[in-house]
Amino acid sequence: MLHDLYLRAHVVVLGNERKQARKLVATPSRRPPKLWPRYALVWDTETTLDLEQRLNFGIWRFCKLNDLEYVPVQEGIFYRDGLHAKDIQTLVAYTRNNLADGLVSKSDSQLVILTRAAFVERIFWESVRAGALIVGFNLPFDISRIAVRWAAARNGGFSLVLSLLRKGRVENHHRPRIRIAPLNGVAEKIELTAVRRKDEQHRWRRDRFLDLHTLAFALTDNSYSLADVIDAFGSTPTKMEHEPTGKITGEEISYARQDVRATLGLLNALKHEYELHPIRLAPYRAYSPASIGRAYVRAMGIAEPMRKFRGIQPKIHGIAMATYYGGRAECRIRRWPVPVVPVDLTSEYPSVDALLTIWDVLTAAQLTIQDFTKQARTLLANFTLDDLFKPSFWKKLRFYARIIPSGDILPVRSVYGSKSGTCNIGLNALDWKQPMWVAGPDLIASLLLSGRIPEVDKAFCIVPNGKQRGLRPVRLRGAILIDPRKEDFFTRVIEYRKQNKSDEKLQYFLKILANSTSYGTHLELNPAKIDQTKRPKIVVHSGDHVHAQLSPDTIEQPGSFYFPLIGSLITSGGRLLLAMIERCVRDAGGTYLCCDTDALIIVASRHGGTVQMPDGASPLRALSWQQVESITNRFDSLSPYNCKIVPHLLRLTDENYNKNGARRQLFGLSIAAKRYSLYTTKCGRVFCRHRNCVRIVNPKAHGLIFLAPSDERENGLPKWWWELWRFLLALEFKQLTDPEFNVLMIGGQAVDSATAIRIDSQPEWIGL
Amino acid sequence: MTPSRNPARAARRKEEALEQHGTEQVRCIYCGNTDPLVVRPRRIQAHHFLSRERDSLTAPVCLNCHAVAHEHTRDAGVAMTCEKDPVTFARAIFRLFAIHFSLLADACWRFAKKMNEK
Repeated sequence: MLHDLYLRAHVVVLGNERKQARKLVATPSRRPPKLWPRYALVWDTETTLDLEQRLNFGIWRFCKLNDLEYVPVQEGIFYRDGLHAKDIQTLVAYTRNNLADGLVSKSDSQLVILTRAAFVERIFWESVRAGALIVGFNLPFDISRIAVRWAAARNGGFSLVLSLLRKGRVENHHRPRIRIAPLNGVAEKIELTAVRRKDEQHRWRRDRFLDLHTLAFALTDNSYSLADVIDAFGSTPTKMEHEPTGKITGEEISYARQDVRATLGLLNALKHEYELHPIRLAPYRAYSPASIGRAYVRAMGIAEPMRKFRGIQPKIHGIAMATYYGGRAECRIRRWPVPVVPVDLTSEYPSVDALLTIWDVLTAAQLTIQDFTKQARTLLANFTLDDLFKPSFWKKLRFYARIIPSGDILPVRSVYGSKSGTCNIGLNALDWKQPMWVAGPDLIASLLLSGRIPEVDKAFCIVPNGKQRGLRPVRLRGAILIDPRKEDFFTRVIEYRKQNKSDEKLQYFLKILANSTSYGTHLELNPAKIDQTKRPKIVVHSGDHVHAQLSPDTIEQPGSFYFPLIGSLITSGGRLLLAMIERCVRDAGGTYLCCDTDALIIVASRHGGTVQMPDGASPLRALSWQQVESITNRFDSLSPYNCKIVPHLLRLTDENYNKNGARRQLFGLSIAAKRYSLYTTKCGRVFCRHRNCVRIVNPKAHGLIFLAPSDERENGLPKWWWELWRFLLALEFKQLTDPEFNVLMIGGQAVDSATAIRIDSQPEWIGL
Repeated sequence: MTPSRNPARAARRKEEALEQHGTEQVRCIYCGNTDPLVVRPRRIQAHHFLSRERDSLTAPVCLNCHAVAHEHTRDAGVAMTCEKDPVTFARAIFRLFAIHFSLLADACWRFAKKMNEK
């Protein structure tokens, strides 16, 4: 079949050379900014419960940093401009009958009461100008409640107006707007826009908006609610048990005050946790674990690769970007349940990072690009599978080669299927008349899977020279000393993670820290909207192709550690590891249900045997548990970790064991890539028609988030994944007897057992 | 000392003072005034005692003392612009130093007198 192929590109913006050159010369700041400012404004708002969610009132606590903790010096209430007189009376009466509590000595214990406009002028803007932390939980929501107008920001997100001039109710241009732009699913960037008068701009330089929801996410990679995060960090005081009524009553005000006290307690708890990390990243700039990871790399004195290796031409980066693809995910056996044993690689990307000795590249003083054509040809001609199980062999794979694909099994990005129109990545046997650049590990994977030696036309490798100056050791979370001159940072992070398996939030944070920093930051590209009137010229490099054009509406701006020469090799190495597992399974006579980046779900049962297939297809051979274990053991030789801490590089996943730690037989059903379910049955049969016999162990339903009826979670996964798979398995096994069990809410509509029969023809989105 | 009625505003003033003058409590070097109402950041000024054109040396002074210093400069016949002739330039510099030090000397006498009174 003929397909269009889509390749990534490295883009250079013309006219920015001077700016970029200035950027390339590091200018150390004279006085490093304080990570934790001396003041903080902790606040929260209460709203009506209707669709508009208008501000009713809010509580604030102005705090100062006292040694290690923020302590309140003033507490107050503000209310909506134009609030009903009766409600104002309730608030005023409350302030007369109650005193501010927990304030530091010598503070005025009276509860201050202000209108929204007065709060914004006297407390909010003064705090901003004092450089205070503006703290809240889900801060964008609270800021939007005190805003009086909004507009779509020019470069994405919203800009909110907080201050109006009294006369004419026009915007006060002496005050900045607040721009809120989403960064990822959890974090938002909150910043001040410039005021009109240039001589006033210096007053509004310090925007320190700290959303504790984002900070907790950066520290744990978990999107918590306020109650949950208080529980997770054990901070005091806790949240009051109360269901908001949307009215203004004494109880409601007390509840809101307790919320702010709890938020302040949480701020101090998160501050304590954050200070364990020896990094110079301001907490209000920590948007994800990757931000913290980057800060660690900086703390070790590692220079940004694009700055350090600025001699490398954009063309080389263009070649690396053209070879970049994400992880491999596919469904091999579709809509047919089989006995399985899932296996996965321990921290795949940090492991590849260690195998390819990427750390040496990152910490090198210089990087040179050397011709590798002859060596690549020799390497491919003499290669055997056993070579790949020697760590020394992996060091030779840091190369890129140009080939003319002819039946080689390579990753490609294309539109599969006529209806969808979206690009997907697949591993295909590829014929193409044009030369194409491929990362070294992908070439080896192609050789493993197809048995065909690719014809290399040209190749180059990257060679690190020396060690960069100024590298210094850091203590990971204040505990383990890591010296970047002698050891691989990511390997140590993974070992530390395994040593702290009992601390769930810590180990998940460490997992994301290692993964995002070892690979994600090297391919970090942030889309930025371009002013239509000032569209710059850009030069696009992709493979051998170079062209100049006017920039489109959106430009991908590279992150500070963007360096595709490294990033592309790491994902390519990940695919090679997966291809090695596949080849080992195939050599043993087996096959797999599906795979996803670092995991392969092998068709296997306790004693092995044949698995019947539908529609007269030839039966499959299931491997025995012993055969699977011998495959996993084979990978131990590649493990870069201390074997006492991380025993296996390739391991059986936790689902293979029951609560008592005994092995159990799993079954799997896959309907599409990244959409599969692992389950057990009481009867022990793979195809089970008994009621209440099937128990789902691990459901996966990626890419169907638009169907999500709620944010509820069950066993750490979205609750609707479990519901969807209970429904789909019941359909698959024709257990259509229980009407309650067989009703599923999809996109706000109930699909029952009667309508679901039609699922065979549609809906397409489920992939059935 | 009574607590501030608006700690946010007090914090802002302190931070501005720290940023501009490197200290939270600004003091006029001629009269020694530290009253926040007199020497709050926008009311304390950086006095170029050799004039801005000649040198960037400054001293924090209150509005009153700043006016007095410039009055003395005008009385001494020193222009605010920089002289091209080196001899005239040196003469202006010496005069400006003399004004500056005499104001400082007056301040020292006043401080000593106050200490005697106590």
